[in-house]
Amino acid sequence: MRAWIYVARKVLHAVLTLAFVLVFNFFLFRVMPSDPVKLLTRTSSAELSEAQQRELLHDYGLDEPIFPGQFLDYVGDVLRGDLGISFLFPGESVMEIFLRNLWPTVLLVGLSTLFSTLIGIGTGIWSGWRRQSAFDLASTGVSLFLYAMPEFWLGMMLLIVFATTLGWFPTGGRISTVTGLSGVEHLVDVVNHLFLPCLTLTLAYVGEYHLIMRSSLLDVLGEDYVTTARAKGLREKVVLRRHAVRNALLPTITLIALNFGFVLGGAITVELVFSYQGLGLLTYEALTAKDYPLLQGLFLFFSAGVIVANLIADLLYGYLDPRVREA
Amino acid sequence: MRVAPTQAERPGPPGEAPSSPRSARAVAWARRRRALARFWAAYRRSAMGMAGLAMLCFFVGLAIFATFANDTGTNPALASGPVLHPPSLRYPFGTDRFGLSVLTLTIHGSKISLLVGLSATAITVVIGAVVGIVAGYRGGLVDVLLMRLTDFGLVIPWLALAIVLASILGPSLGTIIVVIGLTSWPGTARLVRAQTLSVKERPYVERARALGASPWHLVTRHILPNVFPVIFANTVLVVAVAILSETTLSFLGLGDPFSISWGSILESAFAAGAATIGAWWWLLAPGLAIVLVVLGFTMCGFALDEILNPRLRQR
Amino acid sequence: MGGTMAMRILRRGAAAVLGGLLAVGLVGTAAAQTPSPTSARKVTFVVGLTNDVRTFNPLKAIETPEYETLAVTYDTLLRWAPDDMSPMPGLATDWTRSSDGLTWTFTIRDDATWSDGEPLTAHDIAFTYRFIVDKGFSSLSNYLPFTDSFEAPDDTTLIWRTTKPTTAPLAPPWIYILPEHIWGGMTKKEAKQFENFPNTVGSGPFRLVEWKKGDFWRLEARDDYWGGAPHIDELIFRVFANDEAMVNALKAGEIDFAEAIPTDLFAALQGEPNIATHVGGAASFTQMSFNMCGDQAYCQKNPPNRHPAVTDRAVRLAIAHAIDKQALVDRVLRGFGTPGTTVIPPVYPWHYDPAPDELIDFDLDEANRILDEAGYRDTDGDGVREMPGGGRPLEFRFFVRTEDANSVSAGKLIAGWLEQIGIEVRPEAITDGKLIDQWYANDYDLYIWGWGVEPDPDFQLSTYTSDQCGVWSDTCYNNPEYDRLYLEQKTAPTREERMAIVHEMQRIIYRDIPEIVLYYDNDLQAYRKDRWTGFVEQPSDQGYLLFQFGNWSYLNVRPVSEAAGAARPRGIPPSVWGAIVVGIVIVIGAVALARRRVSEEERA
Repeated sequence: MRAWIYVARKVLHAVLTLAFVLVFNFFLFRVMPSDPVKLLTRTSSAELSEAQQRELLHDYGLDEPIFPGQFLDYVGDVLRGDLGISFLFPGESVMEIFLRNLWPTVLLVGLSTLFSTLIGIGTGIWSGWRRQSAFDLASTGVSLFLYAMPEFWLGMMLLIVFATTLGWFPTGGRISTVTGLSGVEHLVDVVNHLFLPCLTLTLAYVGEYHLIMRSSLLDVLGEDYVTTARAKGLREKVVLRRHAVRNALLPTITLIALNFGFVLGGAITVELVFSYQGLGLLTYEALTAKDYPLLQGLFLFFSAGVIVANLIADLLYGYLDPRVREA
Repeated sequence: MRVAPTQAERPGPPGEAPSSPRSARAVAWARRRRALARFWAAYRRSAMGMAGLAMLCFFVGLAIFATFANDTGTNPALASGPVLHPPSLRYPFGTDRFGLSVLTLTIHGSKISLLVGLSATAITVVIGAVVGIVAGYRGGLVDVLLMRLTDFGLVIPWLALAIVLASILGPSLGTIIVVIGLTSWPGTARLVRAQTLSVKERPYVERARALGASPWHLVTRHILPNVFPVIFANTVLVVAVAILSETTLSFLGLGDPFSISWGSILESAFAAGAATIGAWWWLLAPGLAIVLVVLGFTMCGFALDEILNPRLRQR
Repeated sequence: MGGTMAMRILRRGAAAVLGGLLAVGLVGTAAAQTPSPTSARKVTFVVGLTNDVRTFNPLKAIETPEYETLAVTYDTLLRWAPDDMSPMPGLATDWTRSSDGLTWTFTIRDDATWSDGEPLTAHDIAFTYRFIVDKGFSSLSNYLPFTDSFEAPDDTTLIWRTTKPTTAPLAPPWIYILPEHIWGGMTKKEAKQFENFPNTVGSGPFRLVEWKKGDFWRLEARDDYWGGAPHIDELIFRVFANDEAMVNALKAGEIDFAEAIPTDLFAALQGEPNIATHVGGAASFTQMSFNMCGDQAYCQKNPPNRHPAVTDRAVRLAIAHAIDKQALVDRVLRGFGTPGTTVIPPVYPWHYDPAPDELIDFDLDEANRILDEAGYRDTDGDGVREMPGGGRPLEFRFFVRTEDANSVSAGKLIAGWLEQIGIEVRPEAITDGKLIDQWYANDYDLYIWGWGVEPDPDFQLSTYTSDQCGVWSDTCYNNPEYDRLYLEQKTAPTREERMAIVHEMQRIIYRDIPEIVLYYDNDLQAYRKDRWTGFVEQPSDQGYLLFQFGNWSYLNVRPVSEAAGAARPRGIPPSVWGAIVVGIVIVIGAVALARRRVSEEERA
């Protein structure tokens, strides 16, 4: 029963945060200086009369007062899934463009997060347990190095070595041809293009997770109850498994979830470097084109992503730490 | 924390007659100097810390040198070298698409990269420390509100927010500094607040409050000095992140394309298709510089954290 | 308990992931070995670009991809000859002009058909022109000046009557003929909102069949095209997020033709096996514009925010002397361009080459002398000149475009030169959208932008007339003499007389310097020469292979041999997959060994 209360509390907290993001998102974009009507006017034709300009303003809902008119419209629209019409892809709704580019990014970020957390946590535990061993020194050194690297720089170097020079992988894009690839071939094509970006994102964060996990484990190993357990004569491995790791995982999970915002940022630059068509590259295009509706929708989505990641981490935390559940 | 010995109790150096009574301020300064010496001795023992410090000294030196050095080597109009040439004796890190030496560009790029990193860090730490101390000290509703704000700041994905802000403010170095500052302070705030809370509980603080000390006195004389080590360690780590952030933002074209920073060099390289052409040298020098500088700050920060963080000292 | 759980999760997760990788690896290796079946002997030609199409409505076309698609799906009254872009028969096979010059009679071919089977007749042409003029599509009606009437007394005759004599019908008008049976009866609003897709009906050699926004659009060849059936079955235009992706796709064989390749990428492509690089035509120019707002109505409503020195021709002349255009071509364009002079590029016969005594050359000393004489001196010794009498320093706001890397590079170089004549400019890179804002508000001193120029100079010349201020004029240049000449060339009775007027107009602009033409940049194109041949270059000297005025190449291009078929994606060589599999096995082995050692420890 208490578990459900915990879950409910966390979910409610996530929803509230999302609501704040919505409000923040709305007001943030009202500060924009560039007038979308002029942008549209110039590109479509230089012949819009005052009346036509007013009509355009009305179509985009820009002629109402900001509060409450535009704000309530905005909230209503978002709840209905209408995130506006893009400037960059005229006539297309933000939601459409969004959904088109969603799965490649989910695939990229999902897989790389999976790999980097599993590997990082694994090596971090090993490193912390065998402190000052050769493995520890090597892996921590490598982790520091990877942590210090801009992920897009890593991506570009990998691209030069493995794609441009060796030719093992395509030098960019999400898929090769637009027509004519069936089932298995299509899968292989996707994997071919996904490999380097995924490797880049994995390497970019695995170092950090290693360091976090290692540090967390070391903190725990220095705690009183661990000394107690050792004094009780429990075997090292049992000590590690039963107490240390579980407790060390808790703050690690929290920190990894908090880092998710950076992972999404990394996705933006890595997708750019590899011309991998997903939400990240879309964000860059929206930025250069100053497509505010699209930027607004993407911002909302990325924030929601981090909130969900934190929610998952909170729930995982609750599952792993009985103290929390019974609190 | 032991109560500091009074002047009468302090033993003088062997063989010396006991010195005449000194002012409270002199006592405090002497105490600080000794603490600093102790700190430095501990720091020197950390291999990671010393290595990091060495790297930082090198790059700061480089930046200072670059400030006074002639920058004609970065002017495309005066470029005389071969275009996109791989590393050679004359051009150890090759040339860019104008024929400028990448090494020269990287050296001059250190100025802006470090400057922006440090400025952004200043904003981050000031806001973070103020928020953290106020929240930790005042408690209650103020604390709750500030923490809600901080949590909110932590949840927002920084690059998305940075992009949005930069698209509104327009691309410039000022924008980058402000944007990094505004998106990074929550981490510092959380840390500072936690430390403030723990310091607040300490006996001498309670005693001071019972004696009727004003909040200002409490904060500046007691809380701040004890929170300062944590802030300091955190600041060093924040600089590392700020430099990485500047690199990313410049790479995305949100900085000033007419000033040279490591991020802008990478941006020019990417825009010219360096990865496709295979001009790896154009990417190498600025990338290495970033990695080494960030490593330097990170290693220093970790070393500082170990020394200044009491929990770790137990091991 | 939790720790064990965690370890178990970690281990299971890792195993699942590794297993998945293994599976994909094995499958991939297998797939890489088997050749992909060629799809039913269809010959497909894929063109890569970085600019996406926004609409297939001919009345709303603005950008290159739209025009190129129209060129293959519709027809014009006359066509532009491939060798010199002179007018040649298109839908019209023959024409005569009345003695008073006011009536043109065109004979329209009888074998043109629409893609839905209906025949194309003179009625469609008359309808299209009338529609444009009556409904007021101003950007297009510019090609139909002094209109009196358009008539089609029968299916194969078009009569075009004008109120003043004009050679506009022979320009030819860049208007694609619309089917009356689709567009007839629409209001202007309906016509503007008409999607024209799917079920696009056109008379051109290709028919639009598929459109995936942001990705590609696909056309199929029409065997019944009056100009002859194309040698390809399918034409695909594929959009890329950036130029690198496009060039990589060309190298990988995923596309057959790449358009508008940036300088550095192009330079690196030269010498690639299987790829032919083409330094294309330079029918465009990049210019640096000054804020010339005068007393036009638009300038009254939007008072210019600019440095007063910009209005002084002496200053502009000095600046013109301080720009080394050849250096710009060498350094910014890596040689793929020509130094600029007048606003009609040399690739067109209408171009005017300034006489040697008119030429404004790169001469810093001369620039300094002009400024000194005009009274702009550096009174406070800070290296920057001030207004005469020691007032405001000569510091100009200079905008370059983030979308154009060349303009950023050019900006850096120009700032360097101007510094040497005592003028300080700080280039600021802004987006096109922001630049448009500044331009609308007349809030700038200098900026860099560019134009693609049409074969007929009328439109380009019109942008310098005073009534185009706030519409198409880059600078709000205001010269009544120029305006007068513009109207004159529109009604010039013969081509020679028109040529003389057009030359004079270019000379005026070159002399008055409302803007400085920096360079004519070549359009850099490349294609897979191991697969394709038959491109028709237009014009024949330093012309364009695709993205021309017409569809000559699309009609002519064909595979080099029978074997050249559809593109196949590159894959990871089996050796690499093998290495990955071996690596995974090693990792699994290591983990298993480590666990065994640990449990031994445990038992000890």
